[in-house]
Amino acid sequence: MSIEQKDVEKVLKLSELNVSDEEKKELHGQMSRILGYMEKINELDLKDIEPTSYSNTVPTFLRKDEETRTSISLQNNAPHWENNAFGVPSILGG
Amino acid sequence: MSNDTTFKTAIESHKAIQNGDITAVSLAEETFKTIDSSDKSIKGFLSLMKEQALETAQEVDDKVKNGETLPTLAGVPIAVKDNMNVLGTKTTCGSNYLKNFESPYDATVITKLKQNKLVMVGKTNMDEFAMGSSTENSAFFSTKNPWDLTRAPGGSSGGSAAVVGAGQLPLSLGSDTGGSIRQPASFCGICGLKPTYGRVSRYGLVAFASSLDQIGPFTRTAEDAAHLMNVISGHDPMDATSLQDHVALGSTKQKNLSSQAVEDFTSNLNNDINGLKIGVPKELLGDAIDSGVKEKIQDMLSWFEKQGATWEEISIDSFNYAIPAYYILAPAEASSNLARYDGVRYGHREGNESSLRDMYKNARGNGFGAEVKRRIVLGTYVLSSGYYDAYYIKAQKVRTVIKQEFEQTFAKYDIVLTPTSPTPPFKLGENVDDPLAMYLSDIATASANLAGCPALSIPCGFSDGLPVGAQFIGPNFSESKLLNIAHIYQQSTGFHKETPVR
Amino acid sequence: MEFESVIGLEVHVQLKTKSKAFCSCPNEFGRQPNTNVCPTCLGMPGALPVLNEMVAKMAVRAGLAINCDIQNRSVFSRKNYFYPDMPKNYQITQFEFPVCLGGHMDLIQNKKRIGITRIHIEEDAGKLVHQGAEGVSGSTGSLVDLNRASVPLIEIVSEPDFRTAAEAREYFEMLHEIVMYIGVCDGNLEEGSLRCDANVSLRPVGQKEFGTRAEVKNLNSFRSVERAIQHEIKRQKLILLDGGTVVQETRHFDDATQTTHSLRGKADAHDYRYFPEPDLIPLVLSDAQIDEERQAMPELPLAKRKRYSSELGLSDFEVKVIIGDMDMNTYFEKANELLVTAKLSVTAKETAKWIVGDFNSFLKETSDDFGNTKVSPEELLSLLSLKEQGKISGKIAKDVLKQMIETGKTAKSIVDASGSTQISDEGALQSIVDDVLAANQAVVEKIKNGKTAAAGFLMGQVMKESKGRAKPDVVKDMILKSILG
Repeated sequence: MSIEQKDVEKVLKLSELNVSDEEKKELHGQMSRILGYMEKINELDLKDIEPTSYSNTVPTFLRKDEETRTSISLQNNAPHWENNAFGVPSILGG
Repeated sequence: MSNDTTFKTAIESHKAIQNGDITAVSLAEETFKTIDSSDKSIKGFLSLMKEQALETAQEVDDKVKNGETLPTLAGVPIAVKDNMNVLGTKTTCGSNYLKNFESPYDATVITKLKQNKLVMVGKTNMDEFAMGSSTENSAFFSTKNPWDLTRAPGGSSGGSAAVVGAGQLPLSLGSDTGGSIRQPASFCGICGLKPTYGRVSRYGLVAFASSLDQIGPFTRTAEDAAHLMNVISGHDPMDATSLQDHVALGSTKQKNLSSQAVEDFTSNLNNDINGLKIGVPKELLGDAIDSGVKEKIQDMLSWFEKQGATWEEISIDSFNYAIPAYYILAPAEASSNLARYDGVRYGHREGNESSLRDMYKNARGNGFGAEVKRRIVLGTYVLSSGYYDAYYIKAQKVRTVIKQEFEQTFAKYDIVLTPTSPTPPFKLGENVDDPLAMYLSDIATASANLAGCPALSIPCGFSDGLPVGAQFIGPNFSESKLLNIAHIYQQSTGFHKETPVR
Repeated sequence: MEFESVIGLEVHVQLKTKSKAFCSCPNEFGRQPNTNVCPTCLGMPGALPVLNEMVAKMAVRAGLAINCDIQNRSVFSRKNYFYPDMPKNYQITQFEFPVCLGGHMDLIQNKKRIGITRIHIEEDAGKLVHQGAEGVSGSTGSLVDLNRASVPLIEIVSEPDFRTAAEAREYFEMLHEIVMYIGVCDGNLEEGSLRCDANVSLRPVGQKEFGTRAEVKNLNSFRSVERAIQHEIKRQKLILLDGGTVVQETRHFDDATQTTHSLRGKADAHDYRYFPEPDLIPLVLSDAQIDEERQAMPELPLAKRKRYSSELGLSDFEVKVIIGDMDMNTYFEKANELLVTAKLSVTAKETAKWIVGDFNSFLKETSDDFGNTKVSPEELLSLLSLKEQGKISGKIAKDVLKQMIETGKTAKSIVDASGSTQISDEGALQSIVDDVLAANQAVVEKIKNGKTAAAGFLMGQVMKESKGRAKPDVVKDMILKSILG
């Protein structure tokens, strides 16, 4: 399976990343090499193997339904703070 | 060369403080002085917390004066990788995106350090968001290897490894996702432990790949590592993946099951290692491994023979598949973990964009460096529709295979021994243009993260004046055993006492 | 061509836990923006989610109430997409392995069984306030409030079993009732505690395959579910009759215009990149834990309904009103319980009549409701007992109840103070009867001539003179005796 330039474009869109045309080209080349190397896993017979998603199978740990109020300062870190809320540019605009 | 305080072990320093031979404040001041002079060339620290450190040291001294018995590592200086949140200080993760981010809370490990009165002196440099093996991916500057300033300290926890390696202080914390503690420990000639997944709470550790990340100690001695493990490990109700203490104890102390009990990692340090069975995978003794490195591993194996341990060359085929599986799974999780850096609540924003999408794209596009973008792109790709089964699911299956293969190996052998890194420290700049070559330096380490089991690296000699590290991998919950083996080794060898010439 | 509509509903139910789904912030919003938040629900670097045990319990309870198979193991996934109301830019939800599968619900009026595909647990998003315009379009920017972020939801997904908007509405109404009665949701539709999305498609009658569907979002009332679906069916029918094709898309229902409009087309189709949430291990529920919820399950509305009409003899109207108001229902249940334990002669039917009727309408004139009324069920019953024993008339009982509601005084104290107990003593009434007869000789004559029905008029006069306190049957006897001997 080889990655095409349009796949790179699609992924950049999904991941909301702005990169220059030059970077895009470079990314495409690197991705092709890296994914080429990944092909190695196809050497293994994985047909009847279950996938593993977690490092450990620990018993389910659940939190009790108790409330605590956290006081946390948001203004310092917020790039745009207005009326005690985070401001963002127009969602549909631009 | 070393003087009395700089290369003291943590436990020696603590005892001196507890006995009133030195004060914690004087030790902290000495440490800052050493950092001032030595870190100009090493560049291991991103920020220092002088005021906070001296305050804690003073508290410790006050307690000593009052005749109180202090927690085991109280008063000892420690450095922390800059991906762990410390309330009210900057946590940058080596990224421009978080350059000005001030942590609004403490990570659980930080709370534990504070409770145990360790003296936190500063935050250390790292590859951006822990992605890298040389610390050259830091957005700010690269850290130098204390043994050779033209070489890399390893990564991603390069700063934490270098400052301990350089003798600036005896303890630091790093995080390990695919080798990020062990490989820099090897490069800097010190001890680094990646605990069993779930041993140490990840709450407050900025996530790279959540199912693989673990916090662990850098020290010079195995004994110090055991003491630091006592401080940082244990169940945390804020981390659903953290091991509940009775589970963590299950394998080693079945008789003593109390919900409060936490394992004492120092209790087995002096156990006899006669009869120890070691598996040495041939996959990590091949042509890809530097001959100088192989030589030192052979030396170590000879030492083990003398102790009455046995070793056999074995095959663990999955070492060949760990890197591809790791570089699918880790970027996949990272692509999602790093989605929160969007310019809305904190972090970098250009400003003045008229649309939300443009704001996102600029905040992320300009806030992240090349390697982080590369991994986000890779991770997004392997999760996207059409490729999920071909890459992500397959890699998860490889993970199962690796787990099973390790389980089978540990049924026959107590530990698996490998070189930690295929090469001694490489030159700064050597691999920066070749991401794949850089990825391959994790070949010996990534498997332990995929399997979840603990792994430790200790120095086992020098090749052309550069440190070589050996890795012990053990079954889940076997940290105590790994530290025991390392401790016995360090009792009869002197590699861990070697210090770089400054 | 004749078309058949195929409708499936996805209902988001906000769970009324004390704390949020994955952090311990209080589960409440509407306060000052961003005051009910912590590192976890803000998506701060390094913060982690831990599932609230009550969320799992409530999801199980909901599943049991609509006959689902509760899964011993369910898995959390991340649904990845960027939107500013979602702090992590992924939503923690359940995808491949939800907590409940395969249930059903029986519609009463439409007499139909609706299949339930699944129930999954997920977290709510925050809220956006759009600046410079009513909605998102045309706004110059938005403000993000994360108080609601990570509030627990369950999403109940039905099979595409509905054929009419009325069926969908009844299902939503019944579901609303169920989640309230099993105590998992406050049922407040205005505040969005239940939100419904409808998948609507049309196909020629007789065709097996489904047509292309549109998903209509933002249906927050029973009426809008019905109207939106009706509108969508009409819209799609026009397109199909015109030879066009329906586009698969998300549409927004506008309550003001009662129409739907397109939100995003296929070109923008998302690729959510679901994968198992590595921060949360799978939720494992033992059979014993599931059984515990089954044992704790309160009586469901359907069973209640049956009991009220067949055992207690309530009218359909009374049943509907009493079940439709949770507070009233709790009140009625308490009163009914007292009736039985105290062996009062007042009937449940009589009690229901008063609660649904006068009590309800008097309450509405005050700021109180059945949840906090000054009149306890015990006091209501002592009032009804006074009436039952003939100590006060129905009309007086009404007046007394009104005063009780306003002042919180007991029935007895009001009755005693006003001296409004009923008079059945003939001696006390004789002079009033005599006066009335004397003043109405013409009527007396009529009765003498056999028109006994005219006595009603005279009774009314006596009641009026006695200020309603005379006991009617005693008065009637006295009048007839006086005239006919």
